Amino acid sequence: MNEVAVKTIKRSFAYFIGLIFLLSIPLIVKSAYFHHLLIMIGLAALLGMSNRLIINSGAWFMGMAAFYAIGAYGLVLLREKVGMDYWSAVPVIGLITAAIALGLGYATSRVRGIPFAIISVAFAEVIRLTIIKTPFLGGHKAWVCPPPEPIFGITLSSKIGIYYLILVLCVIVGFLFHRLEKSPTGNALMTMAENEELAESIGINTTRYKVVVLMVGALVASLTGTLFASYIGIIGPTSFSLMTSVIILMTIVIGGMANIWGPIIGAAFVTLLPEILPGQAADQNIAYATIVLLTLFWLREGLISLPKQLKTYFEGRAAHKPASISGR
Amino acid sequence: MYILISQSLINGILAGMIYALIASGFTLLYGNAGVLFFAIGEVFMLGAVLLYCLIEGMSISYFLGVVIVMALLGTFGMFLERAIFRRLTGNDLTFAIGSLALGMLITGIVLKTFGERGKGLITPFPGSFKITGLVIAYDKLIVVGVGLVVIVALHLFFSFTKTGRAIRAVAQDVEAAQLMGVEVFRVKSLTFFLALAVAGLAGALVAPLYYVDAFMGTPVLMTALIVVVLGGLGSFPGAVIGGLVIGVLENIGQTFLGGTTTLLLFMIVIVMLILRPEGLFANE
Repeated sequence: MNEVAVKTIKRSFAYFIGLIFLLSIPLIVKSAYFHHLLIMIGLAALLGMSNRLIINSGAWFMGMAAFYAIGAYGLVLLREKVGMDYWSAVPVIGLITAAIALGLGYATSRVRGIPFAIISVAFAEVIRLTIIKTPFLGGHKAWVCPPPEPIFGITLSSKIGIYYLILVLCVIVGFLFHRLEKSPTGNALMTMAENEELAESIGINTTRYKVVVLMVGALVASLTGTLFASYIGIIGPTSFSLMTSVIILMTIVIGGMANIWGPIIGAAFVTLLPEILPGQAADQNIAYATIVLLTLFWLREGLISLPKQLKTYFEGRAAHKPASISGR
Repeated sequence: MYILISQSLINGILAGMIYALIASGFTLLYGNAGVLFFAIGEVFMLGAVLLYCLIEGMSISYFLGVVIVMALLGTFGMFLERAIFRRLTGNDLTFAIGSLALGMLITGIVLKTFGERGKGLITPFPGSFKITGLVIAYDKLIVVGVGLVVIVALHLFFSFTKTGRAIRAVAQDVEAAQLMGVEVFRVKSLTFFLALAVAGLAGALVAPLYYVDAFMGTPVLMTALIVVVLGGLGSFPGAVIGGLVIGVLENIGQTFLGGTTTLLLFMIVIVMLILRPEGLFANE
């Protein structure tokens, strides 16, 4: 058997073990608080993965809270005003989100770099202010959102039910995004991020790729929004401020942009940090900010590159050491 | 009706002056250092907080306090350039994220030291006068006056001094400026000094007019974004004119449309960036 095949088998086995672990962990540890943390990590990971996908196509999207809000508010409104159940509301929300992302993507297809970043921040702000200013959307008031209806006989009103739903979604999204990156499309996206003119000159339809990637990212984010709304049960405009977009962005900066594990590790880090740190919001702000700055300085590839960095560091030190006495 | 419009106009000019100052700082940093400096709102807040501490804690007079705040924040800016932004490598997104983190850091530290409750300063220039039925408060007049002086001084500095021209040269083309013998790092350092001093000045000026708290910077950052886009990213005259225009528009809009004004302004920003990314007032 060649080396590659062995590596693939080893890796698949590791994934399998990891999946079994994630499937069984809520049954082993029966604390509701622990389940809550797992759910929050899952939501943050989904948002991080979708934002990473968009940024890796060269579009510096900094307003993820917009699509998150569209998902959450879409669900609440469809349930309250139209009387739909969760499973029929989700496709409708998907269509709405896709339409909005399509419009935004095509309108901004010629804008790149910092102006695009500003557009995305302004877009998120437009969505938030529209919610606040429109009485139909509830204004400053909070909405109550019931949990999802059972599906295939599984009740989703409990924390464990929601956890499994999010876990399945995380695995699917992570796998699809990973496959996308490894496919020729992924190479095209990478080229676009490196140099858009070059990508266009070799026949990559950058506009179409950008729009599609924005749509896919938006869909995942709004789906996450529906899950967030039905899990937390109460949503208001404060959940979708600029700060939310910033935290999503920091999730992927801390975790790393190089592969799909970055946002997942970042999500775990960003979610667990406030729980580990004592004190109020102020302390957490300071801790977040310091860690992001340190990451930008010394760990540009994020936490996922930490093992590699440590390895090169120690190997470098070993190489510089004078030959030891036992050495021949 | 006349009174209503004129009074909004006057209030608009006051707000516009503040926006013009902050947007100048923001646009300078973008033009010269390539940093989308999201922490500008926090620097504005820091200016107000520092002035409050100087006046309440050390009973320094208002004008001396404003000067000290400018000097302190300018130095802080140079320190930031040296300690953070010069050492960051990578694209503009890295700088933007760095500045976001910096803003969080400043907010956190102010929350811890200054407290979460808003505090008010007693205005040093009480009273007001009336012209043809319009009320103009002295303290607001001072704000507009000081702002105007600083903006004119900056304009003269950029137009007629060697250093000022070097700053503009770097904004146009870093490499060409370097070839002409401009020390780019010194210019960047100076840009940070000026930008943070000016943004801090804006905060110090409004400190006696509004409540001072750790979150007063966020809405201002958003408005600065609108102003900078409208005036053209990186353009100083654009930032000043844009600031005044947005200040007046916002106040008149608040009078007639209410809270939807900001929403409309953000929509205009998006449309502007799509159709005319170089800004309304760009003349190059």
